Amino acid sequence: MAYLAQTQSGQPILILKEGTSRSRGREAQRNNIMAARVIAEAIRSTLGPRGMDKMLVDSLGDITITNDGAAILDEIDVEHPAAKMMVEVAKTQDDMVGDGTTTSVVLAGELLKKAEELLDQNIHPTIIVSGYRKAAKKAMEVLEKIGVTVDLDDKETLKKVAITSMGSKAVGTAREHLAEIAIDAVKQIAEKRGDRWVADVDNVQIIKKEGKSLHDTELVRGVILDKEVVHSGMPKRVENAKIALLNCPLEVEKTEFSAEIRIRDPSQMKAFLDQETSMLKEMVEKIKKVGANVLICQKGIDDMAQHFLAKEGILAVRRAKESDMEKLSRATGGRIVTNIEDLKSEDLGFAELVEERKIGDGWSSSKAAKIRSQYRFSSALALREWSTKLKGQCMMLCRS
Amino acid sequence: MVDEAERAMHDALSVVADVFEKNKIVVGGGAVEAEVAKELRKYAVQVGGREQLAIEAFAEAVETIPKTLAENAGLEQIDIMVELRSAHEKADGHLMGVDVFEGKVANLWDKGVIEPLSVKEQAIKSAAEAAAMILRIDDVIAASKPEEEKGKGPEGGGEEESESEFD
Repeated sequence: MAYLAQTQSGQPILILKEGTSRSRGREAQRNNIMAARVIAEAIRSTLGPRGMDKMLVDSLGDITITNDGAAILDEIDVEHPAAKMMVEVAKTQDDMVGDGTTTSVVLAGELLKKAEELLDQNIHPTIIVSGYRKAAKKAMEVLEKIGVTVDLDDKETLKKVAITSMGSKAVGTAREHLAEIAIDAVKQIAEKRGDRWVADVDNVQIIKKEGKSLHDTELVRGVILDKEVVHSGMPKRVENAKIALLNCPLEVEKTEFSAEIRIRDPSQMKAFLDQETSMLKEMVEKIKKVGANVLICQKGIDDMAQHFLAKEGILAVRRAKESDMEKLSRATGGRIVTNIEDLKSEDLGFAELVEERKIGDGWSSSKAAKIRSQYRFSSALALREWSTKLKGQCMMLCRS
Repeated sequence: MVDEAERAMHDALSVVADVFEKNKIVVGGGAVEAEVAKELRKYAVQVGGREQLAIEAFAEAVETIPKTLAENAGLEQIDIMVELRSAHEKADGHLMGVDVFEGKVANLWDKGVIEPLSVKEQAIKSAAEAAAMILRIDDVIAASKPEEEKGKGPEGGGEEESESEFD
């Protein structure tokens, strides 16, 4: 057994724990190569614009139909360690360049298949590996040589690149439209560092909304919050917005334990309520004082506070997502404040326009429930300014 | 359907960003791979020895991309590959790839099948790395699953080592 060895006197010594499985030499190589090739074979048929699709059903019964290599490998549960490495290849490819995942996995599988043939001819793996390394290096040189430099203002070429990448996706005639949006979006987020351009695709958020056609996909230069204005009396549109970003609640804190307050006198009752009201009012006044006219709160806002905010004409949104808060902070230049007492006018962010808009208006009744209002912090001008010092944010509505 | 659109959008955004970051493009449709394979075959002869075989194997592996493209389009892959190889021998042949819609070898640059260079580079690089990594493993030692072990404390997880030679 693999985990046993013997001393000279023949006494067995336990080296590895019982139950440990071990495979070595050619057997180990063969197993690994086979496992990796199974993965490559699985997605091989999806390569190219005329590749086939895969239907994946997850443990909850949700169905995905796609021919995106990364999506397929992401969805399937892989057990074998060598097969997992193939999944890693796809993930790396997706993280680094975002396309060509199937190509890389198919290529890795094929390289292993050829290597197996060489192993059968008794060529040592080290020789194969060094040959492969040399070949990869040479391939880079060839690629560098045949690569054509493109002018970044050449929109037609950029469009062709985008359309080629969508070749296998079932987006039909909307391809052109989506390609143009992609170019505009990347132009928005690209920033020049030294003599190099850097474009982080994570700065573009794709928001999906059902109810309209892909042709209605639009690019919003700004940040979208999938939330409503808390109070109907508040403005729906604020220009030159000064935005306060809070992550503490605008509520009167309740005591930790259950306490009872006995009030015997009506005036006491009134004093108690007044005290609560004035606490909320103080908070609102503080916001008003620093000059904010928009409030985005990560926590809740009390009904009474909403009322005061509405009276002051401040647009407020509550329970914004933490990730959205961070985006807002980057896009508007504001700072997220944890304690309302600390709020200063320097903490406020700026946007040219904050607006509540309904997206995907009751086009189909079954989807009406999903419709929410959205805000838009926008203006190309302001954004261009931000992208030089901060990271420009731009989001996209992807409807279908 | 919406998810597929999102993936399409993601791909489109990524490739445009790739072009911005490394502003070089190549022609798609297996043309680049065929060209790389051709050059690698020439290179292999220069290197010679056993490594030559490995480099030739690499060239053949790279050629699987146009081959698979043809296969997936329902084309006769042998015919296409012969046509592709001979097309690449000619001047300006590096633009010739598999036109899967017409079912023949054609100049894909003119047809607007263009991809960022970095996508191709990364694909070859990461595939070669993964293959090398898997090939260098000659011993797999996997710890047993900890399911029905009683009383014992947690043991180390699965480890892979290529040493500890005991015969």
